[in-house]
Amino acid sequence: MPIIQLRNVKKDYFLGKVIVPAVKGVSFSIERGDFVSIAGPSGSGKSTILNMIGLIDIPTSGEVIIDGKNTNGLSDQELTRFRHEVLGFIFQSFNLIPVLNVWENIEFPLLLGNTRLPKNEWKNWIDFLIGEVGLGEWRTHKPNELSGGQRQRVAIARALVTKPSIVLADEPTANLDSATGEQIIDLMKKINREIQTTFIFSTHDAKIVNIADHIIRLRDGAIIENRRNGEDIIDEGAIVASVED
Amino acid sequence: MNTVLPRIAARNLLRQKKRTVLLAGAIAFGIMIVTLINGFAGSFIKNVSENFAYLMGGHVFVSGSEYTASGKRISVIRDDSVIMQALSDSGEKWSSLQKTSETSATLIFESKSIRQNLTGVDLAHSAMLKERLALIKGSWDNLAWPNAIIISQSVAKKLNVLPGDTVVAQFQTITGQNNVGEFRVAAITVDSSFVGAMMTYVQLDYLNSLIGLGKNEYMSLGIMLEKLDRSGAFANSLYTSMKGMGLQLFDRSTKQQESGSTTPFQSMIREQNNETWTGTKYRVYTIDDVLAQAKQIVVALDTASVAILIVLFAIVMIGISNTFRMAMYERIREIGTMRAVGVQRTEIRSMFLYEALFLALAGAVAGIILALIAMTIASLINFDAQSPVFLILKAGHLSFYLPPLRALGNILIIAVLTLVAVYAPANAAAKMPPAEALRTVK
Repeated sequence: MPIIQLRNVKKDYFLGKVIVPAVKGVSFSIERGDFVSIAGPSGSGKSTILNMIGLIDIPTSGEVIIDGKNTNGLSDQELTRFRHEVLGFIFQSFNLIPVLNVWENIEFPLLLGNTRLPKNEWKNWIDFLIGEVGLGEWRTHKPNELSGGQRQRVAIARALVTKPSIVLADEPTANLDSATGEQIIDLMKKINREIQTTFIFSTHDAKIVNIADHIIRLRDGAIIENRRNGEDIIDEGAIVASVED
Repeated sequence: MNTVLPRIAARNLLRQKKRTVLLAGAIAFGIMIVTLINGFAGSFIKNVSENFAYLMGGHVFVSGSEYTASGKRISVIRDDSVIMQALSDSGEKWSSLQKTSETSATLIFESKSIRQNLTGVDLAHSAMLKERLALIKGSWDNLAWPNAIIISQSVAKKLNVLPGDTVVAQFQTITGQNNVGEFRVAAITVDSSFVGAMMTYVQLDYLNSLIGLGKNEYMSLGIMLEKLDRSGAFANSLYTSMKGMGLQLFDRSTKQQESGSTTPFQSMIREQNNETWTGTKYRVYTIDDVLAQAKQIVVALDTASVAILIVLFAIVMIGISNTFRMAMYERIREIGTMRAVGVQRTEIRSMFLYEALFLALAGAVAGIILALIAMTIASLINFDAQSPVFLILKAGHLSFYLPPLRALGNILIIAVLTLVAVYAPANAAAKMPPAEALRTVK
């Protein structure tokens, strides 16, 4: 079963009285453990789709099914809990919490919600992640003492700390120079291989697009290419629609 | 308990140090003013009571009343042996006793005259007088004169008398007959405040003989205690002890409801003026009963301080509310990030409320510390004994007493007001949809 399914998802924005359709009825599935790239020029709707998968934005119509669960009609509290349990986020501008140091930023998601790991296990796991992203020496530094690449590494560790099944990354390399961006991508690819976390990117970084297992290309809020492991996937929305007929 | 949100809140306060210092400073200033008022009010009653106690010669008083054959009500204690017995039976401790009689008289010297209240005490043996009065003319030795009179500087000036001069006093006896007597000026005292200037002391025995009281009789017994706070309890046990000896006593409290400007003690006296009895009926009362009006001043001061607190803080709170609104916009992406990572709406709101609470507490504690420092400095100033504020001073110094519960209450009010001020922006931050918050570019 795919880990994510979007069925005829639409999203309209209201600019004053004008309705701007950002996503115009999109359907696709994402398989567990894939390294997925949602590509397209700016304004094509990739961030909006990513936000809807990330349950921080709600579709105007259509369904978002994550891990077999239809997220339609869930309350804000349930969505927040679901995000915390299932999803990890990496942002273009890192979005670390400035008053927390590296260790605390990574630990932060673990302090939320109701599930608690044993203290020991928890510490080892954060230490492991800090080692994995290569910031062992920086654990007590505040975000403003780190370079962009280092900050994004902290963000990656934070996104992984709750062991989410899906990590969403919104243009994670856009604010980094290309060498650092490449390192970040390699790091994410390595983690993707090691712990089978599904990674979904919105990007126009060719490097990411090239190594992705699954590429979804958008233009003007609609899919123009949906290709997994080199094979085109036909519009699932149409299939779903015809089956339901 | 999740401690990470309070931790972030506390650190957020330190991010904009200037802003935090300004806001906390405003809170501290308000709290300081209010704390000073409270501190002043707290000691006001104590100082006024202590000073009046000296002027009146006691903390607890016993007076006697009886009707003459003609039906006139007079103030007299004929035989105090039972009272003395009751005093020692009460098991309470006191530091000194003073027997006094009083009359209102016109003092005349040559062509000048002045109306004065004459207080008859055993001049030569009154420890209290020696301790309290500062002589500028005359000598303590003169107090042995049987018709000695001690007058204040201002009275001496008005009559133009010196020690050794003889003044004539015109007054009424207890039964209402006009009488005159001659007094010899033994000493002139420094005016200690306007009340001090009004006090004129004469020999008890001599005054008694002039106004028609017997040798061992007097009007009122003043009992000075070691501690003023004990006066209520002392009066109660003396009352019980006297009652136990079969003496007639006026009630210590009124059954009537207190109304407007009269104190309970005043309305009690009025009520008891209608009573009739035979023999002597005694009243036991304390300086606090007499000074209930001063207590009303304290209540007024405390009420005013709460009003000031609220008005001052209504203004400060607008500033705090706006600042937090600003802070919320500055941190909007952080809020979006936290929401995405799994922080609930209510937790975002709590985080801002924690921040406000810490700010309020820091400001309030700083304000109280500042007020304590200001009080310490103010209490070092030495006031002239003749200063018009003498009555509120303690040994010539301002003194303060801050009731701890009141300080706590003020902190609580500030905390609540701050939380109310910050609630709206905190709620707005909590309700912000995460995607929108994350989209916002600073």
